[in-house]
Amino acid sequence: METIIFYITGVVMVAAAAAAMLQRNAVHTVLLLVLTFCGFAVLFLLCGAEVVAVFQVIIYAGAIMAVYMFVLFYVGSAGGEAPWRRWREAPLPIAAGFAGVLVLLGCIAYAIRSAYMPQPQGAYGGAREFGAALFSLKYALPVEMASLILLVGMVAVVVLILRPPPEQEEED
Amino acid sequence: MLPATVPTSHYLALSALLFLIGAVGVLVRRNAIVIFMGIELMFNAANLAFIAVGRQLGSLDGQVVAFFVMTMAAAEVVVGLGIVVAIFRHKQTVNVDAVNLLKW
Repeated sequence: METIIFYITGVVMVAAAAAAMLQRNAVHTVLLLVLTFCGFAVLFLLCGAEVVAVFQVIIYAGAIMAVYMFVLFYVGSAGGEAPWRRWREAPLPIAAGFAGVLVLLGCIAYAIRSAYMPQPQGAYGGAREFGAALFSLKYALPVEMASLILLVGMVAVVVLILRPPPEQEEED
Repeated sequence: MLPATVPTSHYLALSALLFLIGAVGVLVRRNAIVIFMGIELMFNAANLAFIAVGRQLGSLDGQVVAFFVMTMAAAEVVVGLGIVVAIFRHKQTVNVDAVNLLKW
């Protein structure tokens, strides 16, 4: 059962991610990525990472993609673009890039195949164990640094957005 | 007959595939917002690898690292999209080809 869910979710995720990256309409990209991120949450649940799966849905599929939607609505149709038109502009660099990607994929496949990995026991970890690990002394400094970085992000965004538009800037 | 649990190598292969899709999106697209979404996809693929290896090793560290990556991604998105909005107010475009000067 777990195996069937994994393969169905994996196929859906790869298809949605590829479609998202080739999509001309950025709003469709956001919606397809929400589907992909929900697929990530399913895989996290299969691995036993319940808390991370819940946060994946709430923070990624919910909050972060909603922020993307807001920015897309603010920017309007200025973001329109036809990704495939670039093939005719510069075919050689793009072909070289895809060849590099294929080589990288081959290297990763070889590395994964040659690594010794016994069959895992199954889902590991629960919300209680995760909370105890996260707030143990081992991760005290990273947790505080994460809070600091979130504060820096908040201040930075306020500074960026509150800056007056360029017309007023050039006057003084 | 399918095995009861999915081998970790399959999780890693899926993670690598999604990471590459995100990387191709970052390299091919010219819309700054879509480039950011490609970076998000790469973050999530890395998270999947962390959690799958954590399950393999019977350790919670992978999940904790994935949690921190999500925190960083949230901060990155907020600052990055703030910069995109600032560029848009300045230049009326989010095409990265149009943003090739460090000043003005």
